[in-house]
Amino acid sequence: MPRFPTDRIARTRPAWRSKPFVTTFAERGRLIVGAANHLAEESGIGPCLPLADAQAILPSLASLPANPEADAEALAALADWCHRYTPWVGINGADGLFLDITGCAHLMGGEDALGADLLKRLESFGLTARAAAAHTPGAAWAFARFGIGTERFASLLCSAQGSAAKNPAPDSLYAKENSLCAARPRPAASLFPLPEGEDVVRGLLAPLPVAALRISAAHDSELRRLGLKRIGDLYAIPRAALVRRFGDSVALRLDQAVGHMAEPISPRRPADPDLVRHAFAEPVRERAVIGAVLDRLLATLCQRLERKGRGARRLDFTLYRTDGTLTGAVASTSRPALDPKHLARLFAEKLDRLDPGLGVDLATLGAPLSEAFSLRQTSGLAPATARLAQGAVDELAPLVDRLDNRLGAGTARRLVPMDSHIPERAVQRRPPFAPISTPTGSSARATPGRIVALRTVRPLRLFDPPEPIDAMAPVPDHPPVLFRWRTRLHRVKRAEGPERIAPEWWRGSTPSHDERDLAPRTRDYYRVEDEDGRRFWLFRRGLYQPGARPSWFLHGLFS
Amino acid sequence: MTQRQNRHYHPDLRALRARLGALQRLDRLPVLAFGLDAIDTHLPWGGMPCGCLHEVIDRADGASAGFAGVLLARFSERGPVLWLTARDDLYPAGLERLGSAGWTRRLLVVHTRRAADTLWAMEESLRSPGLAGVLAETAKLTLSQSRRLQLAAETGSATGLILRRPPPSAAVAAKGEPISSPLDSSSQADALRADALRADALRADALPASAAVTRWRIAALPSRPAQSGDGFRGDGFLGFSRWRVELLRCRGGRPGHWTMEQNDETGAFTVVAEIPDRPDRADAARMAV
Repeated sequence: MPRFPTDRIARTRPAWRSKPFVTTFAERGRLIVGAANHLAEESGIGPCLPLADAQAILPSLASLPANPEADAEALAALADWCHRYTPWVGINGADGLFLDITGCAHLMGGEDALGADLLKRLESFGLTARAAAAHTPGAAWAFARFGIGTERFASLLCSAQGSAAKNPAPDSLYAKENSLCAARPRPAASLFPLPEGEDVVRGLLAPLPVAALRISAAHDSELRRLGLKRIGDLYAIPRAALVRRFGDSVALRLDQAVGHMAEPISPRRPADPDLVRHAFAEPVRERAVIGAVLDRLLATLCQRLERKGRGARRLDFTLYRTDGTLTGAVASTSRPALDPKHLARLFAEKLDRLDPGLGVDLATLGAPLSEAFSLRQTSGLAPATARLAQGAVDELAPLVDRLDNRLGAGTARRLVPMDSHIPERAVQRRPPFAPISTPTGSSARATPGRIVALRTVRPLRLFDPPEPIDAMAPVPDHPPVLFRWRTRLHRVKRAEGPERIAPEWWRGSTPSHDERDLAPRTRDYYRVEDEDGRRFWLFRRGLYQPGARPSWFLHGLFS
Repeated sequence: MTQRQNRHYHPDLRALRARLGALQRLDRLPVLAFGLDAIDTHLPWGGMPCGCLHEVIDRADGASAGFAGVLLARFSERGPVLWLTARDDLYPAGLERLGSAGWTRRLLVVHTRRAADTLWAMEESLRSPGLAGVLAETAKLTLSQSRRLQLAAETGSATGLILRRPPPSAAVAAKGEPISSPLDSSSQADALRADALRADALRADALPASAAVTRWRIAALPSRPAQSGDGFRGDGFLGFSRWRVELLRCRGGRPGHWTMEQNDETGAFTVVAEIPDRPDRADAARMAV
């Protein structure tokens, strides 16, 4: 997409569509053109031209500062939108996308139809795009940016196809790419016959400039200085000589382009093995229709997962709006779930909040996370609670899912006591159905499931972090007689202590000078009761030192 | 005493109460004994009825949460229980002491940030099968909200417990006098007064009606200084923690009040005879240093 930045701006600001403008960035004290819209390009203004020169060519030229972050964000959103064609979409540079359409093209009626549909939709979004299909990402890149748009290429493609032997394609790819030519996209249909066979690809690549190999500018200029202007010129050169002169990169790119070397595309989102989709005949906005489609998708997905013996842990419902944006909802479960009714309830409230915009033409439902599902779950509350029947876990799971989905993941938890002297370390919050395993070996790690001693009285509520208080206490080792907590003054009537808790020396290293204040220090804990009988757990941080003002904290409340 | 009074009701009155109880379906509910004879015999059901809503009102934070926790720990013997907490500060080592050993393993804790979420979560949990008890901390509860929860409790298997906590700033302001220091700006004093007013609004007479079957109010009581015979505890040291437990409302029963004490060593609860505490002069003198 050669004019992605300007197209993006024109998409949101209709006023800019009818006048020439460019985006600019500052370089060495000058403003340089980053991207130009089609009106500006018609006047011969292109990227890398200083703004002053451009305005000399076209005095009415308007300019905006470039915003690479917004461009990248918009490109990412577009990449997500492209998931309607294939689950495997990668972002390439600042203005390109790779779509791995292996095995997907026939769903849209072949590569031709898919490409035509893609270009038509992109054009309706106001984006100028070039697309090309090839067996390797390298070749697709080269065709999209350098090949397509010239009549010569099209005819070459046709003749090459005619003479090519029909080799089975190892993988088919097409890339939608920036092209440096300024012309409008040609009719898409002629762009997508997939060149087949290595010889054909080599033949097609041969007339392209060496820059089409995705090599660095330095390599490009050096190759051209040597007279190697076309990719075809490189075929004749021994590989060893290429590597000696330019390092690995040129030879590698050449191999990748012709398919000698595999080049994986790193997908933006992990490909979802369990994905079901529903295309609407025409855009819909009604909540009820979307809900009905979700129910149907859930039923299909659950059937598919059930055949695999798996249950959904996370579901991703995505709606493709007609204007090219996405919306969706995610629901997660605490245990693998297969009941469409239960899963539909998790989505029920979220659907109300979804905004279908001008209409939705495609809905997909995926299960990015699934787990082996067995009707008799063996882990869960059972190990820690011998008395809790397995049936209770099954009954609780739907409730926990609903709570988690409304209040945020991980809301419902169990408190697991840990074997630690430090009070705030002696509790861990764990997912409700996670099996509680006892770590073996290292004794330094806290072991769950055991309370150190019942006789050491601990508070009901523990503040983490402890709340600082103003306290008045006789030195060196007495509990406070007065303290102020949350603006209130409390008179201590009775007290017990100190209970001295030293930091766990085996944990952590010597603190640096900066963090010495925050480093754990010995605490002297006191249980105190005020005149109303309310009980607090206070501690003094650090040992008593003459001259130093002791700092007191309130750590908890007793029952 | 209470039982004797019950027996001396007029026969017509007793028949009427039985019919009312049948209408309210309270007599058919399973009952879980509180474990303290004095309280169990006072309650018309001989214990706490399950599958309905109970309300615990806060006068001192730790104590009321402790009492509600004791009830929840009792219900946990019938199955897993849920605690909907407004502040995520529950501490299992402290909770453990409120019930039988290991009851916190059957406890799920859910942290809800907004009051609306708390009530929604409580209703969902009351309606869902598999839970034995649900405890929710909330500052406000209107009559219609409590009716909704009571209906939800009747449909499900769980017993609902509402812990009415004043808003955080007022929780501490409810007791203790404001600091009369010249450093206090007038705005701060105003804020404190507002807090106190808010806390007052939670007093029994100002409390809105609710559909709960019982309503309790709990306050901490100063502990009794340990007996002189005790080798470890003496003057100025903590005695066993004590609560004043008031039963403000009880459907089909009579209000009452008790003093509950927990043995710090064994964790056992007892109801102690209410003897007016004489001021402890020696203690006061020592603390006034």
